[in-house]
Amino acid sequence: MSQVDPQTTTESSKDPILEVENLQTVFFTDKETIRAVDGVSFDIEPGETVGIVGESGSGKSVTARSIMGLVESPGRVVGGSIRLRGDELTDNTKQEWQRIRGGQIAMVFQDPLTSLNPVYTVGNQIKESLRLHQGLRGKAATEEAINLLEAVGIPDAPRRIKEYPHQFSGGMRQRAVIAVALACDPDVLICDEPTTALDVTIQAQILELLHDLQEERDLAIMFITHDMGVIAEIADRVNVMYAGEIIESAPVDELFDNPKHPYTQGLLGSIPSRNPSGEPLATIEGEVPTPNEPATYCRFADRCPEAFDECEAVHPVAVEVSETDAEHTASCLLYPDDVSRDEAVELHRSRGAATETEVDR
Amino acid sequence: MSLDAPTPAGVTEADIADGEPLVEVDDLKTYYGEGGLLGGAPVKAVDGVNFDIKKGETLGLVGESGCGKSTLGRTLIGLEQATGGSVRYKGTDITQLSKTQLNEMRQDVQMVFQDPESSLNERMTVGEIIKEPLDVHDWQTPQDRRNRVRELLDTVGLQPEHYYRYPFQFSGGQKQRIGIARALALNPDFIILDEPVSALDASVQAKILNLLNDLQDEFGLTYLFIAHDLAVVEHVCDRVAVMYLGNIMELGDSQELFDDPANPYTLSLLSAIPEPDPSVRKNRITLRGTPPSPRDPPSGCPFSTRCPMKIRPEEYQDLEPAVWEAIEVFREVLRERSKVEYSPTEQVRQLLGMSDPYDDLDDILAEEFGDVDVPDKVQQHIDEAVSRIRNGDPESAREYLREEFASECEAERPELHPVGETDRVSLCHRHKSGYDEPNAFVDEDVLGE
Repeated sequence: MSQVDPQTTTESSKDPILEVENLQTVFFTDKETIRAVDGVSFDIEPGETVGIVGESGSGKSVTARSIMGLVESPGRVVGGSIRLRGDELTDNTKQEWQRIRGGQIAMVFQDPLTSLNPVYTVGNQIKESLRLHQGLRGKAATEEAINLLEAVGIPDAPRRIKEYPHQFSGGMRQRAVIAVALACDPDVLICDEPTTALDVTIQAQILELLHDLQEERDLAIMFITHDMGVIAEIADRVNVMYAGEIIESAPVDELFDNPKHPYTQGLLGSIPSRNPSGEPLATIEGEVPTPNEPATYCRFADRCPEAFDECEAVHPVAVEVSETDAEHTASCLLYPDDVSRDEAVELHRSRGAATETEVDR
Repeated sequence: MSLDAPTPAGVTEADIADGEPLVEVDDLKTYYGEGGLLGGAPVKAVDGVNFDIKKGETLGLVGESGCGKSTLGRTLIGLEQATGGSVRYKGTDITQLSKTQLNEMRQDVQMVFQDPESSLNERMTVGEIIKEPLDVHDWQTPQDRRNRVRELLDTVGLQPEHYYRYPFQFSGGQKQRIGIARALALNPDFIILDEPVSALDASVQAKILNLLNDLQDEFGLTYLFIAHDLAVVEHVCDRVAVMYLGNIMELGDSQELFDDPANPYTLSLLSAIPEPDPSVRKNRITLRGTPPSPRDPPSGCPFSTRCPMKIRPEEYQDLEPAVWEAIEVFREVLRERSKVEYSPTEQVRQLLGMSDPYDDLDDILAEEFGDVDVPDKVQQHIDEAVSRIRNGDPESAREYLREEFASECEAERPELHPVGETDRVSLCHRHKSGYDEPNAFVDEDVLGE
C-alpha cells in the first residue's frame, strides 16, 4: 500500500475490516421489483475467510457486486451500510469507488477467460493495476509483475508475462486473475465462485494458493460458492443465503455438525457423499422463489418440512439458536430452541417490526 | 463393412441377460484433425481404450475436462467417427455401420446432454421436442405418439399441461427432465448420460439423480454416466472408469475404487475432492501443473509429466523430494518453451542474433534451484544442460536431461495390471513386481479417512 491509513496501525486484528449491515439491493424491472439482496448483515475480520453459500438466484453474487460498487441499472443499493475500516462505502462517488476497487477490495470472478482482456498480454494487465494504484511504471512494474506471477505459482514467469490469456490454461488463467487482484495488496479479496469453472485437481491448487496467500498477507477473504465441499475446506465462518436473505450463520464446524435451519439441513442432506450409497438422495421439495415482495413471512415456508401456521405470517429474523451459542444464528421461527414456540414467535415478531423497511423506486 | 448383417437394433429381442456385456469397446481410438496437408499431429482425444458395459449396470466415466470422456461417449453412439478399434453393441460393430443402420441403432441407444439450455430447441413446444424421436422413426400413428408423450411427461414427473409450453418457461431441473423424457421416447436399452446434473444446483441435482435411478429400475436401463463430479459418481455408479488424456487409468468396482484407489492418478484425483465435512483433514496430494496437450501426449505413461510417484532412475532413488521436483519443473519449463510459437518478427530477431529466447535462463535457474541444496551428482548434469542451451542447442539439452533423469515411466507405455479383490485394472508401471505400489507413497489420511 502506498498510503498508510493511520487507523490500520492502531487497529487490533479482532476488529472487523468489512462490516455489512442490513444491505438491500433491489432490481427495478417493468414487471416487478426484485429484492435480490434483502437485509444482509455480516462482518469479515482480517485473516478470516467468510463463506457465502446458496443456490443460483439466492443473491450471493449481487451481495459481492454491491460491496464492490458494481451494481448497475436497473439495480440499486437502496438501504443498509457497507463499511470498510469504519468508512461508509454506499455513498461513495465514482472516483472514490475507483480508488477502493482493486486498491483495497479486489475481486476474483468465476470465469477467468471473461475477466481477462484477450487483446492485452497478461503482463500488461497486471502492470495496468500496478500503474493505477501504485504508480509503478516501466522496468519496476515489469519486475513486480514477474514477482506476482511467481507468487501465484506460475512457472517460467518471465516468459509468461509476455503471453496472451488464450495461451494460458484454465487454472493458470485463474492464477493470473488472482495475481491481478493481488497487485495492489488489497485488504479484502472477494472470490465469486473462483473454482467453479475448474477441474478438481486445479481447484485443489487454487484453494491451496488462496490459503497460502491469506497467511502471508493477512487477507480477509469473502468466498462465494455453491459447493458445500469447497466451503467446508476454505471457510472459517459460513453464511447460508436463500432468496436474498442470510438464513443461517455459524462457524464452519458448527454449521456442518449442527445445521439448524431446515433449509441448511436440506441442502446438506442432498449432497451425495452424505447419503448412504445406493439409497435415494434426500431432496428439498419445490423451487427457489424469486424475492419480489417484502418479506412479511418466511420465504422457505412452502418448501419447509417443519412449517407451521405462523411461518406464513411472521418474518423470521436472525436469532441465536440457543442462549449458550452466540456465534450461531438462524432466521427461523423454531429458534431460539430453549424457549417455548410462542415466545420464540413473539421474539421474531417484535424484532422484525423494528427493522422493517419499505423500498421505493 | 462387417460381414454379418447388423440387426436393426429396435427389432432385436433383449437376448442379453443382466450382467452380460451389452457394449464391448475394443482398443477404441478417436483422433481429430488427422491427415490433410496442414493437419500436423492429430489430437488424440481417445487413445486406445478397452472396456465392457454390462446390461443393467451404471458405468461411470470420470476425468478432468479435455480427458476425452465426452468424445468417448459420442463415439459409442456414432456421433463421432472412430479412428480405430471397435464398439460392439449387442454383438454388432457400430463403427462399421452405414448411416441408415446407425439411425436404426439409435432407437436403442440414446443420449442425455449436459446443458439443458442448449440441447432443447427453443422454438418447439415440449410436446414436439419429446415427440421428435418418435416422428423421426415413424413410430406407430400420430395419435399414439401424442399419447406416448403424455405418458412420458408423467414418467419424468412433469404435468400433462406442460405439453404445449416452451422450454424457456421451465427451470433447469425441469428442462433436464424434458431431455430425459426425449431420450426415453423410443424405449432404449442403453442411455449415455453426458454430465446430466453438472449444470444444476445441489437440491435439484439430487432430484434428477433419484429420477434416473428410478427409471433404471423401472425400465431395466443400462447407463454410461459421464461426469467430473466424483461424489455423484460414487453415489450412482456400479463400476467406474477413470480417464486421463485419452486413456483409461483405472477401471473397476465403484466402492472398491473409491475406498482403495490403486492408480497414482486416481489417488490424486480422489484426494483433491473437497469433503463436505470440515472435520475431515486430508493430507492432500496437490498435482503440479495441468494435463499436457492431447496433440502431443508424453511418451510412455500419459500421466508421467505430473505423477508424484514416478519411478526414478536407480542412482536418484534417495534424492531429496524438493531437488527431484526442481529437476522435474526445470525439465517441464524447457519442454514448454520448445513448443512456444514465436511471431515472425521474433523469429527474424532470433535468427539475426538480436534476441535470445533463453536470455532469462539465470532467472529460471534461480527460481527452480535457488532454495534447494543440489548435490554435485545432479549439479554436473544441470550445468551440462545449461551450457548446451547457451550454445544454442536447447533440443540436445532436453535430450541430455531426459537420458539422465528419465525412467521407464517416460520410455514405455504401461500395461493394465489387475489390482484389488474384484476384477479391477490399473495402468501403471508400479504394479509390476520389484516396485513399491503407488499407495505405499501416501499417508493414511490422503483420502481423509
